[in-house]
Amino acid sequence: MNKDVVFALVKKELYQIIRDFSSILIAFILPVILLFLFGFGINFDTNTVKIGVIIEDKTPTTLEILDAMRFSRFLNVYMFESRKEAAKALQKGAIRGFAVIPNDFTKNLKAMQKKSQQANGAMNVSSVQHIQNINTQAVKLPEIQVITDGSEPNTAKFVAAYIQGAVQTYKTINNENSPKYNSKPPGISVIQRFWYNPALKSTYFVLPGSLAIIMTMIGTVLTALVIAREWERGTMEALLTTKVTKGEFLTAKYIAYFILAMASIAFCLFVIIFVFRVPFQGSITAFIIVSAFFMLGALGFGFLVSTISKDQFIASQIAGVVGFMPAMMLSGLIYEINSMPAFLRLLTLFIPARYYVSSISSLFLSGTIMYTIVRDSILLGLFALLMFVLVYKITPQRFDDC
Amino acid sequence: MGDILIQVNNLTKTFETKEGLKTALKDISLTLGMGEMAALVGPDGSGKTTFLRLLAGLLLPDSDCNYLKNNKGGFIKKIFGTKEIVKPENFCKTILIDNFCPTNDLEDVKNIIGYMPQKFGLYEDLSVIENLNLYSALNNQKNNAKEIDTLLDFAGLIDFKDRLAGNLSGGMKQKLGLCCTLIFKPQLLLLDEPSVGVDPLSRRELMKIVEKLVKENNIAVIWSTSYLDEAENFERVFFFSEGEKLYDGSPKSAAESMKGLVFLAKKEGENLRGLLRNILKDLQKEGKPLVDGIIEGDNIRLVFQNRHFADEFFLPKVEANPRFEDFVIYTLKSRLKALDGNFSSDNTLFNNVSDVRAPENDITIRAEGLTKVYGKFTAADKISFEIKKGEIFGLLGPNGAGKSTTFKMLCGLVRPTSGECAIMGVKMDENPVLARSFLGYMAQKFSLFGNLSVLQNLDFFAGVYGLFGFEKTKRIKLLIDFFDLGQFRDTNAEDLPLGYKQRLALSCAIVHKPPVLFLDEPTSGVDLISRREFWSQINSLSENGTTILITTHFMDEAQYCDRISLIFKGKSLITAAPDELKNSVKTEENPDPTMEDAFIELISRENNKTMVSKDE
Amino acid sequence: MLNNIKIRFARLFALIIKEFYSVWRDPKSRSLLFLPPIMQLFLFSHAATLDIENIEIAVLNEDSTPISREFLNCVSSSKYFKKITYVNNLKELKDNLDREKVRGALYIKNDFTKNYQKKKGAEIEVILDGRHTNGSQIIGNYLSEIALNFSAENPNGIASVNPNLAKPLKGGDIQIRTRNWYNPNLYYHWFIISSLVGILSMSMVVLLSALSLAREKESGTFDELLVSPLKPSEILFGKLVIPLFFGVIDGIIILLAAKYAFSMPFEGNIFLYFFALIIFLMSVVGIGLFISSLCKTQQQAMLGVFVFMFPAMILSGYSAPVENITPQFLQNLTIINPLRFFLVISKGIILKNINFCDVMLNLIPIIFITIFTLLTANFSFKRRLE
Repeated sequence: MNKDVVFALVKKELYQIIRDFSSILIAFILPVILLFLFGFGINFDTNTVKIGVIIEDKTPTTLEILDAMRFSRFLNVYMFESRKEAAKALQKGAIRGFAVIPNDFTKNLKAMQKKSQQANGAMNVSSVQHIQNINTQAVKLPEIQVITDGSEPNTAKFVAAYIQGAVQTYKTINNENSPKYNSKPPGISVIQRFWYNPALKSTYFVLPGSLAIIMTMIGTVLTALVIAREWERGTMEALLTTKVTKGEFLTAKYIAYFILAMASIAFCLFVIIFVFRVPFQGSITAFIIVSAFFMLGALGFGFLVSTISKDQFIASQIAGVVGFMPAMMLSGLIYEINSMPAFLRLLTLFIPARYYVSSISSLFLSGTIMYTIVRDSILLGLFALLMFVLVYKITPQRFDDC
Repeated sequence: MGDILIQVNNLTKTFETKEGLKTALKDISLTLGMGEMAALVGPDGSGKTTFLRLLAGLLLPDSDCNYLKNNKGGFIKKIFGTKEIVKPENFCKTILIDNFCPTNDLEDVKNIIGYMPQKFGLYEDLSVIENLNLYSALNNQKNNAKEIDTLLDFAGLIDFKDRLAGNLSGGMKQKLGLCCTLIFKPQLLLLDEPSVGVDPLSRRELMKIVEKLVKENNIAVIWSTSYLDEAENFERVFFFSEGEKLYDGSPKSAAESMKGLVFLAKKEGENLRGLLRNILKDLQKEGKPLVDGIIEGDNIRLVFQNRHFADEFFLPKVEANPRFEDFVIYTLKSRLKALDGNFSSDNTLFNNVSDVRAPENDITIRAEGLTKVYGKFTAADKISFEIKKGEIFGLLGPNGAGKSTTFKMLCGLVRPTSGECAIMGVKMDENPVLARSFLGYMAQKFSLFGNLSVLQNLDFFAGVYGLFGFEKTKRIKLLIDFFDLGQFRDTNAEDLPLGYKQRLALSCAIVHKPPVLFLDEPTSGVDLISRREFWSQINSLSENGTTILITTHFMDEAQYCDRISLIFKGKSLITAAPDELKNSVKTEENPDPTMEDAFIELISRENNKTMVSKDE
Repeated sequence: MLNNIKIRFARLFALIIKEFYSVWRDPKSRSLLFLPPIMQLFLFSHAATLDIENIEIAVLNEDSTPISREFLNCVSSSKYFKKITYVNNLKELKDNLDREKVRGALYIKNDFTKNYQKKKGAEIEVILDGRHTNGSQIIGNYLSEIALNFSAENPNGIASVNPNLAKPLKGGDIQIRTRNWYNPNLYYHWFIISSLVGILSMSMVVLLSALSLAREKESGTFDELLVSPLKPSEILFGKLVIPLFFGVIDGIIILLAAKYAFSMPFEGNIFLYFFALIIFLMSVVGIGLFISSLCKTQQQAMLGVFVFMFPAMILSGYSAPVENITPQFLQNLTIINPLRFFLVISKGIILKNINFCDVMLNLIPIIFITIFTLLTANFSFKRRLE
């Protein structure tokens, strides 16, 4: 490999990049727009859900429960007069669910309390027989019905959980204030802690992770057309008659676009940290290493696409179907890998973006985890190497390769 | 001329296509000496580019690669498989360049050959000097700045060193492309269609540069072109047609061989087109078909099959200087048996045209001060002309001169910055729909719906122009028969041979019998015979009263027009009949100027004028 | 007069036939029609899920008593959790979590049983991976639910002490009975597929219409159309009908797959559904034509389509609910996104059987978008002509 030749080619590529506004656009403007969309558009932090409440049984107790719901920071409560009205609103999508406190609620609750006092009394004398007697007495349970909008399954789950939480709050408060109601102490209370992301902001995960998808795309789009372009403009023909070897040719392409891609990543990192204010816990060196391996693979994939098909249409279709879509769907950024069918889970093992997502989100949120970094760097490096070998193998020395 | 540099023995090249194997080159043998300069002539698809690529080692001859055998493995095999080249007996003997074989000794061959591909192989977003530095490095040359400057000076590009290649004119790109191939002083220069998209003036300059190179450095040159008149300037010509070498030798001696068969004839007071048509028809009937008959200014130029036929010819005639073109068409015809030449025998196709209401003074197309300004650039500057019914009017000029802009303004695709135009007396800006309904339009590069079949294309155009039912069926059948498209009825338009594409495009344009026909570069790339047929069709149309506006950059074709307008740098330099134009540049040194001479003379006059006005 | 009508009809007919053939006979366009939508349908319906199952968690149990073990049994027997890894100390726990070997961890301290039996409020720490916010919240909810049920069933934590109390009072507690309307089992793919009808047919239609115009511009045939007596509105009509046709066919395929391959219900009125789908696709064709009127080549058109598709998908309520989009202006921006409205209609009709008025409420914005984009496309044809 001749250094001067590679240097001259790299210089040429860089000139072309600088002078072609579209590559600047693809490398710097497009990622920011995409980051912006990911950051704001894919937000799973359910801020507040609109729910309806119908109280058929207006008593101090039910009103207290209502207050508990109103105080919940997750719920946005609308009052409805009848189930029918609420059902209509639910159908329209104006509310995501509603809770009904039926008209026998207070009555049942009172009955229940009485019974549990009896039971407690019974417990004191340790009369098993007595308890069983009480148990056999039919008592209707005080019940709150919750109806959710199943057409949005994820939100439906949160609606149910949030209402449950509000009722729980009500019970705890009443437990402390009025021992006469539900004297039973709380059982197990679960204290949830979210490590790495205590405030549980989904953008903290989505933004760094989306870097993997964006870079898969940028890397592929940047390079998917560069070799095709050389063919189209007839310069490939001229190059083939010069003394450039394909090794020199590819090395130069890699170097030039690697520089551009790394600049693009650096720019995105800057935007994520300083504009979106996502904390970065890990080491920059590790970030650079993982990103470099990832980018080499993505660029290689782009070159491969570009070499296989000299047709721009097909090139972009392949880039989309084989590159972007799987990165989006199977990288674990948005959708849960664990919940996929087995063969898809197997498939995710071959998606480089998956490893990059895991490395990057760890680097941002939990610091440098050597195990993850080393494992992912090796896998991404292998992928990059495979791509290079493939590209090298199928780059023709002549027009027809026979 | 000394030692042999290129030796080609029985070269055949086959490609695999959708429809099966296609032979691009068939059994070609030739030799070229050191320092010899040759033109490689042929229409598009005749195998010129394939031949040059084979010489440069970009393709391998069939004898050197067992094409089918190796291609069967597909993608996977390409990556992992080992290449199994079954070496036949004559392996690496088909092409020898200075005794090296491009298949095995690619590196050595690369040291000998400088290759300029079509479109010149330049990086448009690099400057002139950056392109040169790049190619210098790519060829492992350590050229110093001075050497490169000398080269640039030689090509007259020294003042444009820092301009981006994309912003150069066609002529300058061509020179830069040449410089890039010359950078390592090759012994053999392969130039693939260097004159496409270049104005005639620059073409001549380049020719001079190359001639100088040949003399000074003993470089051999193969220059491919589809223009026969260009080839005529060479000492040696290879003529290719459909992958076969039909002629190898000096164009002059080829033309000589036609002596006594070429005549100019005229008959006072008679319409030349009608006359030509009748001559062609009559002679065909008599079993003495002409080789070629074209209109040239005020005369008809006839090429006879033999002296005998010529002597029997009834009109007074003068013997004319034969050209290389005459020889080519003679050769092609003798292979094709005979030219029908009877295209206009069926007049039903074109009648009724004259029924359309006649506008005042018979002027069907009128352009008045048409001007189009894009930002600072004036694409067309006050272009005016009037075209009469039945006239063939040519817009002549190099690429980028403003022909297409003028053309598009006339059919209402571009709104003029100032000025106006009218078709059949209907002003384009007042009633564009009515004005356009008089038009038949054949766009550049035969814009057809590529993935629709011939029949579907015709169906579409007939339907869009309001034909339906029996009338439509009848018309389409007529066109298919007339243009002999029957065998291709169900072929996709994009898969048609170029000549048939042209026929289809023309038949689509006249499906609704338009009184005015606009043709944008209708003959580029098409082979000679198809061009002749095309013109005979155009002649019939014009005879039947169709007004024809045509743009072309083939200088010789301009002679078939009644009048032409020379367009250069957005301006119409002159509007005149072809003979007037030629006569206006007649000098003692050049008593019989060609169209190209006239063109070049007029352009340089114009250039001088602007220079003078600048000095003032 | 009659002849005039006939001629116009012949023209339009010829145009539509041509548009159909140029899609159908072009291998590239044809390859876009059915295969990608079906593949995507398959991939999306299987891969796109926010549900979380097969969870692996770590447990650090400092309090090895029957009660804590009983509780852990409850966890591991729940359908959500696949595997429990026991760890011995906090460091190991952190290690597992760091490496994403587990998605969460339970930390049971040594005073757990004591507190539980004394009814002092026994605490279990649930440590969740904040890197996967949505999934972790759901895991947290699952564990809370299990804890709640466990304490209700074992109020004294003395299951082993007094077997007779193994099934004590079920009361004292307010019961919450949840029912999920429209999708009782909360199948995520019901949601996905009813959205996919819009998304997939949109992506195909927008690409088809943008490319067909760009291709004609590239090959020069568009000039021929413009020079012909066709009016711009007629050209527009021709460009509208065929992508619409293929878009509706794609819609039908997906709906059939929904019904027969995924056993989904179709609650609403099918005619109303297709009426809405056609209006929606018209707006999409308008967008496609608008994009390609800005472009010179197919390549640019394709980039343009992508630049449109991506935000349109993200800001449609498909990836995440519209009301979650935080900067208000971005949320407001979604009113120019026809997909946003169509998704409401699609889910509404398929799963919820919403009534005509509610459909219209979401259809009217689409109609406005359709009118706007089609007029713009028409204008751009006209401008090119003049």
